[in-house]
This record gives sequence, structure tokens and C-alpha cells, in this order.
Amino acid sequence: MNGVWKWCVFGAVVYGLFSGNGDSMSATLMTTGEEALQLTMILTASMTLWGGLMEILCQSGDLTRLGGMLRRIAGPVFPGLQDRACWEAMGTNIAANMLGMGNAATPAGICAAKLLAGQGETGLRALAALLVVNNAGLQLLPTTVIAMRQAAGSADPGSVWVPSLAASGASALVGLATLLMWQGRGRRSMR
Amino acid sequence: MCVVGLIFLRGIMTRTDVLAAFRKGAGRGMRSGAELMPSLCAMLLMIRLLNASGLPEMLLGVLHPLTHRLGIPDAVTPLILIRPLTGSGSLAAMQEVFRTCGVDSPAGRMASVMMCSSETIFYTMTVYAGAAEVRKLPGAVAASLAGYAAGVAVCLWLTA
Repeated sequence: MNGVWKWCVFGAVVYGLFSGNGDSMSATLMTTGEEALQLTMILTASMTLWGGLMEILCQSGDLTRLGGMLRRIAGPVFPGLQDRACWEAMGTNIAANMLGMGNAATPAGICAAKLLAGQGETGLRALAALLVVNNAGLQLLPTTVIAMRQAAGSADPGSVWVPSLAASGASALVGLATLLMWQGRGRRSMR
Repeated sequence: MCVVGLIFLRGIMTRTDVLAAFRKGAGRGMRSGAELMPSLCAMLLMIRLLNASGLPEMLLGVLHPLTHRLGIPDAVTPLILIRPLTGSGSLAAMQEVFRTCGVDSPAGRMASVMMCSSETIFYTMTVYAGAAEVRKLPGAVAASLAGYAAGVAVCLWLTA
């Protein structure tokens, strides 16, 4: 992330100055902090609400069951990860994403990230895998896009559903395969 | 709303102290939300500066021969480039494809499938790595981008 960020910002500034876009870039700089504050406020508001609702589910024991389900599938890949709370948070995050509840998925994902960070190397490897799954955009029913297609006057707004599932699935599989290969190589080179 | 009803139903069924649980979780959510501001500010700075610099337009021009050969419609290329960076920006780019090519055209369908089958990779990275307070997660960006490329390929194959 550091590398991407450093070179993108530097590259943008250099290119912008040479191509005469310096003024519009200065103008952008003025509003960025404010925009970050707005985004933080929106995110904090939704995380407060959904964090509260999630805690009810957590204390009623349902998240434990969800985590157990995920653990049965992904457990063998991360044998070192024993902490039950980690699996609960990851299970919640993936389930909420699949149901299209991004608002509920983010707090669970952040909770998972914090817990996994405390689990050492294995935790960070699992967090990377969770991110890759998240980034494939797996969703059982892509409501936002279907609604936007309908609004744009599509004759068959739902026709993109099956191709989307296929593309998401391929993205998740290829992403995970790449990640596991990467992690395998890293571990060998450390020995 | 069904989800909220279900959550309360489960809370009542298991005799959980629902209000106390809600307050505990809400407090935790609020604190982690507020702590994200530095990471979000860093990410926004990068995206806004890139957009204002005109660098993406230059890249589009350079990449044109390649995307043309792959059979990616010209209208969809901007969407493919900005999708990993910004959610609202890519929704706007999809709308633009709908407007110029039509919703039910191959380009329109491809833009829709692309939106569904991908995420704002750099945004999720920022938020989760920021929350975990780690600077890097080895392989996560590369693997996500590989997955993204596979998703785009399937998209092309199914909607062209």
C-alpha cells in the first residue's frame, strides 16, 4: 500500500504540474480534508448503528454458529487460527457481503481485522484472504446495479445476474489461488 | 427491516440484554469508525490528485491499442480503470456507459456485470489495513488485482 500511495501521489503531482493542471490540483487539495471528514462521519454513523445490532447477534450466540460454518470450510487452510472470535467476525463479514448489506459488512470486517492483527502471522495471512474474497464482490443478488439498470430503462434489468455471479466466482477463485501461492512462496523463502 | 426484526427476535429468544449489547457494540463501532479518518484522508488525497492531474486520461490514450485488441469497448475502459479506486466514481462511470451506449447494449451489460463482480480494492485495503494497524499485507493487493483481471475476463467472455 505504501508503495502504491507514494508513487501515485508523486506521479500525479509531477504530471499535473507539467501538463498545466497545477491550479485544479491546488483547488482539490483544499477540499480533500473536508471530504475525508464527511466520509468518516458517514462511516462512523453506520458503524455505530450496525456495530450495536451486530453485538446483539453476537451475544445471542448466532455469530458463533456462523463462524463455525466458515471455520469448517476455511479452517484447514489456516490451521494456526484457533481464536473463535476471529472466525465469527470473518463469517459475519462474508455473510453480510453476500446479502448485499455493505453497511453491516464493514463493521464486521473491521472487527475481524483488529482481532486478526492480534493473532500474529497466521492472522495476517487470513486477513489477506478475507480481503481478497471481499474484493471479488461476491453478492447473491446485486440490488444496486439492478436498480440502476431499471432506472436507466433496461428491458431486462436482471439479465446481468448470472454473468455477475460467474465473474465474481472466477475473481474470488483466481484471487485466492494467487494469494495462497504467494503466501506459500513467502513461507518457503523464510525457512 | 426484516434483518433488524430477525436480530431482535433472536435477542429476545435467547434472553440477551438487548439494550446493553447494542450500546456496547455501538460504542465499539463508533470508536473504530473515528479512528479511520487518517487512512481515509490519505486515500482520498491520492484519488483526488490523480483525477485532477489528468494522468488517467493520458493512460487511457496509451492503453487504447491494448484494450482495443482485447475487445474491450472504449466506453467501458474508464470504468475498468477507476473501479478499484472509487465506488461512487465507478457508479457514475457505469451511468455514463448506459447514457452513451444504452443499458442493454453489450457495453452496457458489460459495465453492469463489472460493477457487480468487483469491489473498490484500494478502499477496502485502506479501511481494513488501517483498522489492523498494519502497513502491508503481503500479496493481498496483487492477488486482489489478479482476481479482478479474471473477473473482467469472464465478464468480456459472457457479455461480448
